[in-house]
Amino acid sequence: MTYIPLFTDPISEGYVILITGLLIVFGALLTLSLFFKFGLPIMLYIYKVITKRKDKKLSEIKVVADEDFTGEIAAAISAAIHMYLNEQHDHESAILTIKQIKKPYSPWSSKIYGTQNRL
Amino acid sequence: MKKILLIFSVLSLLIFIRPALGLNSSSSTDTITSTVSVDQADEMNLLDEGFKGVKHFYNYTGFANVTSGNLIMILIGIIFIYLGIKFDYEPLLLIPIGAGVIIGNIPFVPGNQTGIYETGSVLNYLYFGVVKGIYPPLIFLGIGAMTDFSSLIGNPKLMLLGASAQIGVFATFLGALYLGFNLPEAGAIGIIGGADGPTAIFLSSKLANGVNILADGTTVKNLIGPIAIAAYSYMALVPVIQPPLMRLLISKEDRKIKMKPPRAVSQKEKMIFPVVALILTTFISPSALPLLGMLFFGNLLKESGRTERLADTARTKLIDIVTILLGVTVGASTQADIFITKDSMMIFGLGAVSFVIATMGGLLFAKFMNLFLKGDNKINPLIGAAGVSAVPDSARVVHMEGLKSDPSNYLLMHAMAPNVSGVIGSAIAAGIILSFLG
Repeated sequence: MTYIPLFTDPISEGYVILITGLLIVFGALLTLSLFFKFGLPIMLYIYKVITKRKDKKLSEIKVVADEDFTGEIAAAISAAIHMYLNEQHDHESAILTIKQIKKPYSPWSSKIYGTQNRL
Repeated sequence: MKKILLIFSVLSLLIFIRPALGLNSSSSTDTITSTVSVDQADEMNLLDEGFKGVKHFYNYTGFANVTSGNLIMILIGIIFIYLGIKFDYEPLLLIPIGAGVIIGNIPFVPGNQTGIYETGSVLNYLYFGVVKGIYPPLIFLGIGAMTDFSSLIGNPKLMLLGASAQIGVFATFLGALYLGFNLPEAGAIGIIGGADGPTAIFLSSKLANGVNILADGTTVKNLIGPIAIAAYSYMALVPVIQPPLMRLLISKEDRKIKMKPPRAVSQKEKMIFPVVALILTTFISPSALPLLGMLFFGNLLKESGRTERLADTARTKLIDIVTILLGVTVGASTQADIFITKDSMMIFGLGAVSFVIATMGGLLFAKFMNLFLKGDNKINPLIGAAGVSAVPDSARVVHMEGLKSDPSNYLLMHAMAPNVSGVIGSAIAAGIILSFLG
Protein backbone atom coordinates (compact mmCIF):
# COMPACT_ATOMS: atom_id res chain seq x y z
CA MET A 1 0.00 0.00 0.00
CA THR A 2 1.38 3.38 -0.95
CA TYR A 3 0.59 6.36 1.21
CA ILE A 4 0.83 9.77 -0.30
CA PRO A 5 2.50 12.28 1.97
CA LEU A 6 0.47 15.32 2.97
CA PHE A 7 2.74 17.99 1.66
CA THR A 8 3.12 16.89 -1.98
CA ASP A 9 1.70 19.08 -4.65
CA PRO A 10 -1.18 17.17 -6.27
CA ILE A 11 -0.15 18.29 -9.76
CA SER A 12 3.37 16.91 -9.50
CA GLU A 13 1.95 13.81 -7.90
CA GLY A 14 -0.35 13.64 -10.90
CA TYR A 15 2.57 13.71 -13.31
CA VAL A 16 4.26 10.93 -11.39
CA ILE A 17 1.13 8.81 -11.62
CA LEU A 18 0.69 9.75 -15.29
CA ILE A 19 4.13 8.57 -16.26
CA THR A 20 4.40 5.51 -14.05
CA GLY A 21 0.84 4.51 -14.84
CA LEU A 22 1.34 4.69 -18.58
CA LEU A 23 4.61 2.82 -18.30
CA ILE A 24 3.01 0.07 -16.23
CA VAL A 25 0.05 -0.30 -18.59
CA PHE A 26 2.40 -0.48 -21.55
CA GLY A 27 4.71 -2.79 -19.69
CA ALA A 28 1.89 -5.14 -18.74
CA LEU A 29 0.45 -5.41 -22.21
CA LEU A 30 3.90 -5.59 -23.76
CA THR A 31 4.82 -8.52 -21.51
CA LEU A 32 1.58 -10.18 -22.41
CA SER A 33 2.09 -9.67 -26.13
CA LEU A 34 5.72 -10.79 -25.96
CA PHE A 35 4.64 -13.89 -24.12
CA PHE A 36 2.11 -14.76 -26.76
CA LYS A 37 4.52 -13.92 -29.53
CA PHE A 38 7.47 -15.97 -28.28
CA GLY A 39 6.71 -17.73 -25.03
CA LEU A 40 3.62 -19.57 -26.09
CA PRO A 41 5.02 -21.21 -29.24
CA ILE A 42 7.96 -22.48 -27.20
CA MET A 43 5.64 -23.84 -24.55
CA LEU A 44 3.50 -25.55 -27.13
CA TYR A 45 6.59 -26.99 -28.81
CA ILE A 46 7.87 -28.38 -25.53
CA TYR A 47 4.48 -29.86 -24.82
CA LYS A 48 4.53 -31.52 -28.20
CA VAL A 49 7.99 -32.95 -27.58
CA ILE A 50 6.97 -34.30 -24.19
CA THR A 51 3.75 -35.91 -25.33
CA LYS A 52 5.20 -36.96 -28.72
CA ARG A 53 1.81 -37.04 -30.24
CA LYS A 54 0.17 -35.03 -32.90
CA ASP A 55 -2.03 -32.29 -31.56
CA LYS A 56 -5.64 -33.23 -31.55
CA LYS A 57 -8.13 -30.56 -32.39
CA LEU A 58 -11.11 -30.47 -30.12
CA SER A 59 -13.38 -31.37 -33.03
CA GLU A 60 -11.31 -34.44 -33.81
CA ILE A 61 -11.70 -35.93 -30.37
CA LYS A 62 -14.23 -38.68 -30.82
CA VAL A 63 -16.99 -39.27 -28.39
CA VAL A 64 -16.86 -42.90 -27.32
CA ALA A 65 -20.01 -44.51 -28.61
CA ASP A 66 -22.03 -46.86 -26.43
CA GLU A 67 -22.43 -50.08 -28.39
CA ASP A 68 -25.50 -51.20 -26.50
CA PHE A 69 -27.39 -48.06 -27.28
CA THR A 70 -29.32 -48.99 -30.39
CA GLY A 71 -31.83 -47.08 -32.43
CA GLU A 72 -34.63 -49.14 -30.90
CA ILE A 73 -33.77 -47.92 -27.40
CA ALA A 74 -33.66 -44.36 -28.63
CA ALA A 75 -37.05 -44.78 -30.27
CA ALA A 76 -38.50 -46.28 -27.10
CA ILE A 77 -37.16 -43.44 -24.96
CA SER A 78 -38.40 -40.77 -27.31
CA ALA A 79 -41.81 -42.42 -27.51
CA ALA A 80 -41.97 -42.54 -23.72
CA ILE A 81 -41.00 -38.87 -23.46
CA HIS A 82 -43.54 -37.97 -26.09
CA MET A 83 -46.31 -39.83 -24.28
CA TYR A 84 -45.29 -38.40 -20.93
CA LEU A 85 -45.31 -34.84 -22.24
CA ASN A 86 -48.70 -35.42 -23.84
CA GLU A 87 -50.06 -36.45 -20.47
CA GLN A 88 -49.01 -33.22 -18.84
CA HIS A 89 -51.39 -30.39 -18.47
CA ASP A 90 -50.74 -26.75 -18.08
CA HIS A 91 -51.48 -25.25 -14.74
CA GLU A 92 -54.98 -24.08 -15.09
CA SER A 93 -56.19 -20.95 -13.47
CA ALA A 94 -57.85 -21.68 -10.15
CA ILE A 95 -60.18 -18.77 -10.49
CA LEU A 96 -63.61 -19.91 -11.55
CA THR A 97 -66.08 -17.39 -12.69
CA ILE A 98 -69.69 -18.27 -13.05
CA LYS A 99 -71.16 -16.24 -15.77
CA GLN A 100 -74.81 -15.62 -15.81
CA ILE A 101 -76.08 -16.12 -19.30
CA LYS A 102 -79.26 -14.38 -20.14
CA LYS A 103 -81.29 -15.96 -22.86
CA PRO A 104 -84.08 -13.97 -24.30
CA TYR A 105 -87.39 -15.71 -23.68
CA SER A 106 -88.64 -17.74 -26.54
CA PRO A 107 -91.90 -19.63 -26.62
CA TRP A 108 -90.46 -22.32 -28.85
CA SER A 109 -90.04 -25.52 -26.94
CA SER A 110 -91.65 -23.93 -23.92
CA LYS A 111 -93.22 -26.41 -21.60
CA ILE A 112 -96.36 -24.48 -20.98
CA TYR A 113 -97.18 -24.53 -24.64
CA GLY A 114 -96.54 -28.23 -25.00
CA THR A 115 -98.99 -30.47 -26.77
CA GLN A 116 -99.78 -32.47 -23.64
CA ASN A 117 -100.91 -29.87 -21.18
CA ARG A 118 -103.49 -27.78 -22.88
CA LEU A 119 -104.64 -24.76 -21.02
CA MET B 1 -73.50 18.06 -2.43
CA LYS B 2 -73.71 15.61 0.40
CA LYS B 3 -71.83 13.02 -1.58
CA ILE B 4 -69.02 15.42 -2.34
CA LEU B 5 -68.77 16.37 1.29
CA LEU B 6 -68.64 12.72 2.25
CA ILE B 7 -65.86 12.04 -0.23
CA PHE B 8 -63.90 15.01 1.01
CA SER B 9 -64.25 14.06 4.62
CA VAL B 10 -63.25 10.46 3.92
CA LEU B 11 -60.24 11.70 1.98
CA SER B 12 -59.21 14.05 4.73
CA LEU B 13 -59.69 11.32 7.30
CA LEU B 14 -57.45 9.04 5.30
CA ILE B 15 -54.78 11.67 4.99
CA PHE B 16 -54.82 12.55 8.65
CA ILE B 17 -54.74 8.92 9.63
CA ARG B 18 -51.67 8.38 7.46
CA PRO B 19 -49.26 10.06 9.89
CA ALA B 20 -51.09 8.52 12.79
CA LEU B 21 -50.25 5.08 11.43
CA GLY B 22 -46.64 5.86 12.08
CA LEU B 23 -45.57 7.06 8.69
CA ASN B 24 -44.74 10.42 10.14
CA SER B 25 -44.25 10.12 13.85
CA SER B 26 -43.45 13.76 14.56
CA SER B 27 -46.99 15.06 14.13
CA SER B 28 -48.91 12.07 15.38
CA THR B 29 -50.27 13.66 18.55
CA ASP B 30 -52.13 16.53 16.99
CA THR B 31 -53.48 14.40 14.18
CA ILE B 32 -55.38 12.19 16.58
CA THR B 33 -57.12 15.19 18.00
CA SER B 34 -57.86 16.45 14.54
CA THR B 35 -59.42 13.16 13.50
CA VAL B 36 -61.59 13.33 16.58
CA SER B 37 -62.56 16.86 15.73
CA VAL B 38 -63.42 15.77 12.22
CA ASP B 39 -65.76 13.17 13.61
CA GLN B 40 -67.60 15.68 15.74
CA ALA B 41 -67.53 18.58 13.39
CA ASP B 42 -70.56 19.97 11.63
CA GLU B 43 -70.82 20.23 7.90
CA MET B 44 -69.02 23.52 7.40
CA ASN B 45 -66.15 22.35 9.51
CA LEU B 46 -66.00 19.12 7.51
CA LEU B 47 -65.61 21.07 4.33
CA ASP B 48 -62.80 23.08 5.87
CA GLU B 49 -61.05 20.00 7.14
CA GLY B 50 -61.58 18.40 3.78
CA PHE B 51 -59.78 21.14 1.98
CA LYS B 52 -57.03 21.01 4.55
CA GLY B 53 -56.73 17.30 3.95
CA VAL B 54 -56.54 17.69 0.23
CA LYS B 55 -53.89 20.32 0.72
CA HIS B 56 -51.99 17.99 2.98
CA PHE B 57 -52.27 15.24 0.41
CA TYR B 58 -51.11 17.65 -2.26
CA ASN B 59 -48.02 18.40 -0.20
CA TYR B 60 -47.11 14.75 -0.45
CA THR B 61 -47.43 14.59 -4.22
CA GLY B 62 -44.68 15.15 -6.73
CA PHE B 63 -46.37 18.29 -8.02
CA ALA B 64 -45.75 20.13 -4.78
CA ASN B 65 -42.14 19.04 -4.32
CA VAL B 66 -40.93 19.31 -7.89
CA THR B 67 -37.87 21.40 -8.61
CA SER B 68 -36.54 22.56 -11.95
CA GLY B 69 -33.62 20.18 -11.48
CA ASN B 70 -36.00 17.23 -11.27
CA LEU B 71 -37.73 18.29 -14.46
CA ILE B 72 -34.43 18.71 -16.30
CA MET B 73 -33.26 15.29 -15.20
CA ILE B 74 -36.56 13.65 -16.16
CA LEU B 75 -36.20 15.26 -19.57
CA ILE B 76 -32.66 13.86 -19.82
CA GLY B 77 -34.00 10.43 -18.89
CA ILE B 78 -36.55 10.67 -21.66
CA ILE B 79 -33.83 11.76 -24.10
CA PHE B 80 -31.75 8.70 -23.09
CA ILE B 81 -34.67 6.40 -23.76
CA TYR B 82 -35.34 8.18 -27.04
CA LEU B 83 -31.71 7.87 -28.14
CA GLY B 84 -31.70 4.20 -27.23
CA ILE B 85 -34.88 3.42 -29.13
CA LYS B 86 -34.58 5.72 -32.10
CA PHE B 87 -30.87 5.57 -32.92
CA ASP B 88 -30.08 2.19 -31.36
CA TYR B 89 -27.17 3.73 -29.39
CA GLU B 90 -26.45 0.97 -26.84
CA PRO B 91 -30.14 0.48 -26.03
CA LEU B 92 -29.31 -2.20 -23.46
CA LEU B 93 -27.65 0.50 -21.38
CA LEU B 94 -29.45 3.69 -22.26
CA ILE B 95 -32.97 2.40 -21.73
CA PRO B 96 -32.38 1.06 -18.18
CA ILE B 97 -30.37 4.17 -17.32
CA GLY B 98 -32.99 6.46 -18.82
CA ALA B 99 -35.75 4.75 -16.88
CA GLY B 100 -33.55 4.92 -13.78
CA VAL B 101 -33.04 8.66 -14.26
CA ILE B 102 -36.79 9.14 -14.30
CA ILE B 103 -37.25 6.90 -11.25
CA GLY B 104 -34.54 8.74 -9.35
CA ASN B 105 -35.97 12.15 -10.07
CA ILE B 106 -39.58 11.70 -9.11
CA PRO B 107 -39.91 14.29 -6.37
CA PHE B 108 -40.83 12.90 -2.97
CA VAL B 109 -41.04 13.96 0.64
CA PRO B 110 -37.76 12.96 2.28
CA GLY B 111 -37.80 10.73 5.30
CA ASN B 112 -40.10 7.98 4.07
CA GLN B 113 -37.39 5.64 2.79
CA THR B 114 -38.20 6.34 -0.82
CA GLY B 115 -35.12 7.82 -2.42
CA ILE B 116 -32.02 5.99 -3.50
CA TYR B 117 -29.86 7.92 -1.03
CA GLU B 118 -32.09 7.23 1.98
CA THR B 119 -30.84 4.34 4.08
CA GLY B 120 -33.27 1.48 4.17
CA SER B 121 -35.05 2.17 0.92
CA VAL B 122 -35.26 -0.63 -1.60
CA LEU B 123 -33.40 1.39 -4.21
CA ASN B 124 -30.69 2.03 -1.66
CA TYR B 125 -30.22 -1.70 -1.18
CA LEU B 126 -29.95 -2.24 -4.92
CA TYR B 127 -27.55 0.70 -5.14
CA PHE B 128 -25.37 -1.09 -2.62
CA GLY B 129 -24.01 -3.23 -5.45
CA VAL B 130 -22.80 -0.07 -7.17
CA VAL B 131 -21.40 1.63 -4.08
CA LYS B 132 -19.48 -1.45 -3.00
CA GLY B 133 -18.36 -2.30 -6.52
CA ILE B 134 -20.14 -5.66 -6.65
CA TYR B 135 -21.81 -5.36 -10.04
CA PRO B 136 -18.77 -4.47 -12.19
CA PRO B 137 -16.84 -7.72 -11.61
CA LEU B 138 -19.98 -9.72 -12.36
CA ILE B 139 -20.39 -7.82 -15.62
CA PHE B 140 -16.75 -8.57 -16.39
CA LEU B 141 -17.41 -12.26 -15.83
CA GLY B 142 -20.08 -12.11 -18.51
CA ILE B 143 -17.88 -10.07 -20.84
CA GLY B 144 -15.13 -12.65 -20.41
CA ALA B 145 -17.51 -15.45 -21.28
CA MET B 146 -18.59 -13.55 -24.39
CA THR B 147 -15.26 -12.40 -25.72
CA ASP B 148 -13.21 -14.25 -28.27
CA PHE B 149 -9.57 -13.36 -27.72
CA SER B 150 -8.35 -15.31 -30.75
CA SER B 151 -7.64 -12.21 -32.86
CA LEU B 152 -5.49 -10.92 -30.02
CA ILE B 153 -3.63 -14.22 -29.66
CA GLY B 154 -3.10 -14.35 -33.42
CA ASN B 155 -1.57 -10.89 -33.54
CA PRO B 156 -0.21 -10.02 -30.10
CA LYS B 157 1.40 -6.75 -31.13
CA LEU B 158 -2.06 -5.21 -31.43
CA MET B 159 -2.23 -5.35 -27.64
CA LEU B 160 -0.06 -2.24 -27.56
CA LEU B 161 -2.86 -0.27 -29.20
CA GLY B 162 -5.05 -1.07 -26.23
CA ALA B 163 -2.33 0.29 -23.97
CA SER B 164 -1.78 3.44 -26.00
CA ALA B 165 -5.42 4.45 -25.76
CA GLN B 166 -5.07 4.48 -21.98
CA ILE B 167 -3.24 7.79 -22.35
CA GLY B 168 -6.76 9.23 -22.28
CA VAL B 169 -7.16 7.97 -18.73
CA PHE B 170 -4.02 9.57 -17.43
CA ALA B 171 -4.39 12.80 -19.39
CA THR B 172 -7.89 13.29 -18.03
CA PHE B 173 -6.60 12.51 -14.59
CA LEU B 174 -4.14 15.37 -14.97
CA GLY B 175 -6.81 17.65 -16.41
CA ALA B 176 -9.07 16.95 -13.43
CA LEU B 177 -6.21 17.80 -11.08
CA TYR B 178 -5.75 21.12 -12.84
CA LEU B 179 -9.47 21.84 -12.53
CA GLY B 180 -9.15 21.54 -8.76
CA PHE B 181 -10.34 18.02 -8.00
CA ASN B 182 -8.31 16.23 -5.36
CA LEU B 183 -6.26 13.16 -6.23
CA PRO B 184 -8.76 10.31 -5.66
CA GLU B 185 -11.56 12.22 -7.37
CA ALA B 186 -9.31 13.00 -10.30
CA GLY B 187 -8.34 9.35 -10.56
CA ALA B 188 -11.96 8.30 -10.68
CA ILE B 189 -12.75 10.94 -13.30
CA GLY B 190 -9.77 9.94 -15.40
CA ILE B 191 -11.02 6.40 -15.85
CA ILE B 192 -13.87 7.73 -17.99
CA GLY B 193 -11.20 7.80 -20.69
CA GLY B 194 -10.99 4.02 -20.37
CA ALA B 195 -14.41 3.98 -22.03
CA ASP B 196 -15.47 1.08 -19.92
CA GLY B 197 -18.59 1.50 -17.82
CA PRO B 198 -18.01 -1.27 -15.26
CA THR B 199 -14.39 -0.23 -14.72
CA ALA B 200 -15.45 3.39 -14.25
CA ILE B 201 -18.08 2.42 -11.69
CA PHE B 202 -15.66 0.11 -9.94
CA LEU B 203 -12.96 2.72 -9.59
CA SER B 204 -15.27 5.57 -8.64
CA SER B 205 -16.95 3.40 -6.02
CA LYS B 206 -13.54 2.82 -4.49
CA LEU B 207 -12.14 6.35 -4.79
CA ALA B 208 -14.91 8.94 -5.07
CA ASN B 209 -17.66 7.36 -3.02
CA GLY B 210 -18.39 10.14 -0.55
CA VAL B 211 -17.20 7.95 2.33
CA ASN B 212 -13.42 7.92 2.14
CA ILE B 213 -11.61 10.53 4.18
CA LEU B 214 -8.57 12.22 2.77
CA ALA B 215 -5.31 12.82 4.57
CA ASP B 216 -6.26 16.43 5.27
CA GLY B 217 -9.53 15.42 6.89
CA THR B 218 -11.97 16.28 4.12
CA THR B 219 -14.35 13.69 2.73
CA VAL B 220 -14.23 12.91 -0.97
CA LYS B 221 -17.29 13.79 -3.00
CA ASN B 222 -19.68 11.14 -4.21
CA LEU B 223 -19.08 11.21 -7.95
CA ILE B 224 -20.24 7.69 -8.86
CA GLY B 225 -23.40 8.95 -10.54
CA PRO B 226 -21.87 11.62 -12.77
CA ILE B 227 -18.88 9.45 -13.70
CA ALA B 228 -21.01 6.44 -14.59
CA ILE B 229 -23.45 8.53 -16.59
CA ALA B 230 -20.61 10.31 -18.39
CA ALA B 231 -18.86 7.03 -19.19
CA TYR B 232 -21.97 5.31 -20.46
CA SER B 233 -23.28 8.24 -22.44
CA TYR B 234 -19.95 8.82 -24.18
CA MET B 235 -19.70 5.10 -24.87
CA ALA B 236 -23.06 5.35 -26.55
CA LEU B 237 -21.80 8.36 -28.48
CA VAL B 238 -18.69 6.60 -29.82
CA PRO B 239 -20.22 6.47 -33.33
CA VAL B 240 -20.47 10.27 -33.17
CA ILE B 241 -17.15 11.12 -31.53
CA GLN B 242 -14.71 8.84 -33.30
CA PRO B 243 -15.26 9.13 -37.09
CA PRO B 244 -14.31 12.84 -37.37
CA LEU B 245 -11.09 12.17 -35.45
CA MET B 246 -10.27 9.24 -37.70
CA ARG B 247 -10.74 11.35 -40.81
CA LEU B 248 -8.68 14.13 -39.28
CA LEU B 249 -5.67 12.06 -38.29
CA ILE B 250 -5.47 9.23 -40.81
CA SER B 251 -4.72 9.91 -44.45
CA LYS B 252 -6.85 8.44 -47.23
CA GLU B 253 -4.18 5.96 -48.34
CA ASP B 254 -3.60 4.74 -44.81
CA ARG B 255 -7.29 4.14 -44.37
CA LYS B 256 -7.21 1.78 -47.35
CA ILE B 257 -4.48 -0.49 -45.96
CA LYS B 258 -5.64 -4.06 -46.01
CA MET B 259 -4.39 -6.25 -43.22
CA LYS B 260 -3.61 -9.89 -43.79
CA PRO B 261 -6.11 -12.21 -42.18
CA PRO B 262 -5.11 -13.30 -38.67
CA ARG B 263 -3.67 -16.79 -38.40
CA ALA B 264 -5.77 -19.65 -37.12
CA VAL B 265 -5.50 -19.99 -33.36
CA SER B 266 -5.61 -23.46 -31.82
CA GLN B 267 -7.96 -24.31 -29.02
CA LYS B 268 -4.99 -25.00 -26.77
CA GLU B 269 -3.76 -21.44 -27.15
CA LYS B 270 -7.21 -20.12 -26.40
CA MET B 271 -7.30 -22.17 -23.21
CA ILE B 272 -3.84 -21.05 -22.13
CA PHE B 273 -4.56 -17.39 -22.79
CA PRO B 274 -6.95 -16.66 -19.89
CA VAL B 275 -4.79 -18.48 -17.37
CA VAL B 276 -1.54 -16.85 -18.41
CA ALA B 277 -3.08 -13.42 -18.91
CA LEU B 278 -4.75 -13.63 -15.51
CA ILE B 279 -1.52 -14.48 -13.77
CA LEU B 280 0.61 -11.95 -15.65
CA THR B 281 -1.72 -8.95 -15.48
CA THR B 282 -2.79 -9.38 -11.88
CA PHE B 283 0.80 -9.89 -10.74
CA ILE B 284 1.57 -6.52 -12.32
CA SER B 285 -1.54 -4.76 -11.08
CA PRO B 286 -3.09 -6.68 -8.17
CA SER B 287 -5.67 -3.99 -7.42
CA ALA B 288 -7.39 -4.82 -10.68
CA LEU B 289 -7.90 -8.38 -9.46
CA PRO B 290 -11.70 -8.22 -9.06
CA LEU B 291 -12.08 -7.03 -12.65
CA LEU B 292 -9.35 -8.97 -14.44
CA GLY B 293 -9.85 -12.09 -12.34
CA MET B 294 -13.49 -12.28 -13.27
CA LEU B 295 -12.81 -11.35 -16.90
CA PHE B 296 -10.32 -14.14 -17.48
CA PHE B 297 -12.28 -16.58 -15.35
CA GLY B 298 -15.27 -16.00 -17.60
CA ASN B 299 -13.08 -16.49 -20.64
CA LEU B 300 -11.71 -19.73 -19.24
CA LEU B 301 -15.26 -20.97 -18.73
CA LYS B 302 -15.90 -20.25 -22.39
CA GLU B 303 -12.73 -21.72 -23.84
CA SER B 304 -12.24 -24.75 -21.62
CA GLY B 305 -14.89 -26.55 -23.62
CA ARG B 306 -16.10 -28.38 -20.52
CA THR B 307 -18.08 -25.68 -18.75
CA GLU B 308 -20.31 -24.51 -21.53
CA ARG B 309 -23.26 -24.39 -19.14
CA LEU B 310 -21.55 -21.98 -16.76
CA ALA B 311 -20.25 -19.85 -19.61
CA ASP B 312 -23.70 -19.75 -21.09
CA THR B 313 -25.24 -18.53 -17.86
CA ALA B 314 -22.51 -15.96 -17.33
CA ARG B 315 -22.88 -14.44 -20.78
CA THR B 316 -26.66 -14.44 -20.91
CA LYS B 317 -28.76 -14.56 -17.76
CA LEU B 318 -26.22 -13.37 -15.22
CA ILE B 319 -24.95 -10.40 -17.19
CA ASP B 320 -28.52 -9.46 -18.09
CA ILE B 321 -29.62 -9.43 -14.47
CA VAL B 322 -26.64 -7.38 -13.37
CA THR B 323 -27.03 -4.98 -16.31
CA ILE B 324 -30.64 -4.36 -15.37
CA LEU B 325 -29.79 -3.64 -11.74
CA LEU B 326 -26.73 -1.59 -12.62
CA GLY B 327 -28.51 0.47 -15.27
CA VAL B 328 -31.50 1.33 -13.15
CA THR B 329 -29.57 2.16 -10.00
CA VAL B 330 -26.92 4.18 -11.78
CA GLY B 331 -29.72 6.05 -13.51
CA ALA B 332 -31.57 6.60 -10.25
CA SER B 333 -28.44 7.86 -8.55
CA THR B 334 -28.72 11.04 -10.61
CA GLN B 335 -31.17 12.53 -8.14
CA ALA B 336 -31.22 16.19 -9.12
CA ASP B 337 -30.18 17.78 -5.83
CA ILE B 338 -27.05 15.61 -5.76
CA PHE B 339 -26.37 15.32 -9.47
CA ILE B 340 -26.81 18.82 -10.87
CA THR B 341 -23.67 20.50 -9.64
CA LYS B 342 -20.74 22.30 -11.17
CA ASP B 343 -18.64 19.17 -10.61
CA SER B 344 -20.94 17.07 -12.78
CA MET B 345 -20.71 19.57 -15.59
CA MET B 346 -16.91 19.56 -15.36
CA ILE B 347 -16.90 15.76 -15.32
CA PHE B 348 -18.95 15.72 -18.50
CA GLY B 349 -16.55 18.14 -20.14
CA LEU B 350 -13.53 16.12 -19.03
CA GLY B 351 -15.19 12.92 -20.19
CA ALA B 352 -15.59 14.25 -23.72
CA VAL B 353 -11.97 15.40 -23.76
CA SER B 354 -10.77 12.07 -22.44
CA PHE B 355 -12.58 10.18 -25.20
CA VAL B 356 -10.99 12.44 -27.79
CA ILE B 357 -7.51 12.02 -26.30
CA ALA B 358 -7.89 8.25 -25.97
CA THR B 359 -9.01 7.91 -29.58
CA MET B 360 -6.18 10.12 -30.79
CA GLY B 361 -3.69 8.20 -28.68
CA GLY B 362 -4.76 4.95 -30.26
CA LEU B 363 -4.75 6.31 -33.81
CA LEU B 364 -1.38 8.03 -33.51
CA PHE B 365 0.25 5.04 -31.88
CA ALA B 366 -1.01 2.83 -34.69
CA LYS B 367 0.62 5.22 -37.18
CA PHE B 368 3.76 5.13 -35.08
CA MET B 369 3.78 1.32 -35.10
CA ASN B 370 3.43 1.37 -38.86
CA LEU B 371 6.83 3.07 -39.12
CA PHE B 372 8.43 -0.13 -37.92
CA LEU B 373 6.31 -2.61 -39.82
CA LYS B 374 7.08 -3.74 -43.33
CA GLY B 375 5.02 -4.96 -46.25
CA ASP B 376 1.79 -6.78 -45.53
CA ASN B 377 2.49 -6.70 -41.81
CA LYS B 378 1.44 -3.08 -41.81
CA ILE B 379 -1.63 -2.35 -39.75
CA ASN B 380 -4.49 -0.12 -40.72
CA PRO B 381 -4.16 2.85 -38.35
CA LEU B 382 -7.94 3.08 -38.04
CA ILE B 383 -7.97 0.10 -35.70
CA GLY B 384 -6.05 2.16 -33.16
CA ALA B 385 -9.30 3.95 -32.41
CA ALA B 386 -10.73 0.66 -31.17
CA GLY B 387 -8.16 0.71 -28.38
CA VAL B 388 -10.58 2.74 -26.26
CA SER B 389 -12.49 -0.34 -25.05
CA ALA B 390 -16.21 0.50 -25.52
CA VAL B 391 -16.67 -3.10 -26.66
CA PRO B 392 -17.86 -3.73 -29.32
CA ASP B 393 -19.06 -0.36 -30.48
CA SER B 394 -15.73 1.22 -31.30
CA ALA B 395 -14.64 -1.86 -33.28
CA ARG B 396 -17.85 -1.54 -35.25
CA VAL B 397 -17.22 2.14 -35.88
CA VAL B 398 -13.71 1.32 -37.15
CA HIS B 399 -15.19 -1.31 -39.43
CA MET B 400 -17.75 1.12 -40.84
CA GLU B 401 -15.11 3.79 -41.43
CA GLY B 402 -12.88 1.26 -43.15
CA LEU B 403 -15.74 0.26 -45.43
CA LYS B 404 -16.35 3.90 -46.33
CA SER B 405 -12.86 4.32 -47.81
CA ASP B 406 -12.67 0.83 -49.30
CA PRO B 407 -15.86 -1.22 -49.56
CA SER B 408 -13.88 -4.48 -49.62
CA ASN B 409 -11.82 -3.83 -46.50
CA TYR B 410 -13.20 -5.72 -43.53
CA LEU B 411 -11.55 -4.51 -40.36
CA LEU B 412 -13.92 -5.84 -37.73
CA MET B 413 -11.88 -8.91 -36.83
CA HIS B 414 -8.67 -6.87 -36.64
CA ALA B 415 -10.32 -4.10 -34.64
CA MET B 416 -11.56 -6.56 -32.03
CA ALA B 417 -7.96 -7.19 -30.93
CA PRO B 418 -7.19 -3.64 -29.75
CA ASN B 419 -10.76 -3.47 -28.53
CA VAL B 420 -10.47 -6.33 -26.05
CA SER B 421 -6.94 -5.38 -25.12
CA GLY B 422 -8.35 -1.93 -24.36
CA VAL B 423 -10.61 -3.59 -21.79
CA ILE B 424 -7.61 -5.30 -20.23
CA GLY B 425 -5.60 -2.08 -20.44
CA SER B 426 -8.22 0.09 -18.77
CA ALA B 427 -8.68 -2.49 -16.02
CA ILE B 428 -4.92 -2.47 -15.43
CA ALA B 429 -4.95 1.33 -15.45
CA ALA B 430 -7.78 1.29 -12.91
CA GLY B 431 -5.72 -1.05 -10.76
CA ILE B 432 -2.70 1.23 -10.96
CA ILE B 433 -4.69 4.32 -10.03
CA LEU B 434 -6.31 2.39 -7.21
CA SER B 435 -2.99 1.22 -5.85
CA PHE B 436 -1.60 4.76 -5.97
CA LEU B 437 -4.59 6.53 -4.47
CA GLY B 438 -6.74 3.92 -2.77
